[in-house]
Amino acid sequence: MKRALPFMLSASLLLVSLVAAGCGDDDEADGDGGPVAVEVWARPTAPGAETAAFYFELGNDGSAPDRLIGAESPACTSTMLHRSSMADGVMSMQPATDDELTVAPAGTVMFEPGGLHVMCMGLLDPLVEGESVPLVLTFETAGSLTLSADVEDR
Amino acid sequence: MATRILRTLVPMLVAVAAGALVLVLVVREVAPHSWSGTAFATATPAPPFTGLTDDAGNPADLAAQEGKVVVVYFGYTSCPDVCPLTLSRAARAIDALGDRGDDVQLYMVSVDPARDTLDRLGEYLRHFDDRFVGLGGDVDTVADVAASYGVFFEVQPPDDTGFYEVDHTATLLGIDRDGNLKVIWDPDIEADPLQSDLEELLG
Ligand SMILES: [Cu+2]
Repeated sequence: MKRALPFMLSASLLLVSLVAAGCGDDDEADGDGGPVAVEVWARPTAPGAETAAFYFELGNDGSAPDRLIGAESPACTSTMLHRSSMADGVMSMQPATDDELTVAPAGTVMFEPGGLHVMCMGLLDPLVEGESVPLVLTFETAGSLTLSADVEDR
Repeated sequence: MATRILRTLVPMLVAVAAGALVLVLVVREVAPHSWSGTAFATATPAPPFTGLTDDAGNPADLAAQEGKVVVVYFGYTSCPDVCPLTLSRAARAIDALGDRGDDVQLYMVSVDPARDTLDRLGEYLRHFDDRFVGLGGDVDTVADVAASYGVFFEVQPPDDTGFYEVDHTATLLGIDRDGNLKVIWDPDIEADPLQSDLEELLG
């Protein structure tokens, strides 16, 4: 009985994580063992705004590293893979480096406000809270991943 | 033997006592309110908004806000990542103050006069909170006001589509009800600690 406890605990933990994965987002990759992206979102934009940013968490279910090389969305005229950084309180943005864009097997790369982001330039329509916007991420090896970004204020 | 023990023991005791004293002093200093931003030690009158225009087209007048807590931010509407983050958290913090939030006035001074018309500034700021107000002016005027707040900005070279970014100091500056610059917050301040600092400013 005592020995069964750790087993039951890990079994239920497994169940919890399976359930969490299952009903998380429909944003996951096609799932044949390459890069995946979850928690794909963008902040609602002000009327007339020309830019936006997409955020997500990259994972890698494959056995080799892969690198994000581009992004596209019908909401944007063009995009860039960017990093924001702060020095002495001054914010600036730089193109993300190859290193930063590479996701190792079982690794994660966070795209989040104030850090890595897909910058959307020439925003065609405001991003409206509650709606979702298609986002295609292209990887060096795995090719394209079609996602849907939730527009929400976080 | 005894002297050897003393030789090590005495400095140790002195160090412990000094450490305890420092701790007591620090705790006493921090005890009234633990600022999440960086608080100014002495009262520094906030520089005026000389030459700036608010998004309704009226001359900006910081002195007229005395009695309110004022938050000043330098940013621009084409800023995709950090400005919306900071403004949305500021909006959340001020919203959480309830009615007292009406006594907090946030201004964003545009560091991108070429693109940010007053109309656009107004629309942008009201997207975050309908009490936020944008301030504009020509580049030299904005540069003067920015410098008086210790704020730096620099328009970056355009890309091939003509789009450009503006590097800028992205801190939030908090002015107390008496018109003194009181606290500076990092751009990534969370809403809760910001709210707590604003409550302290409101008194
Ligand atoms: Cu960017």
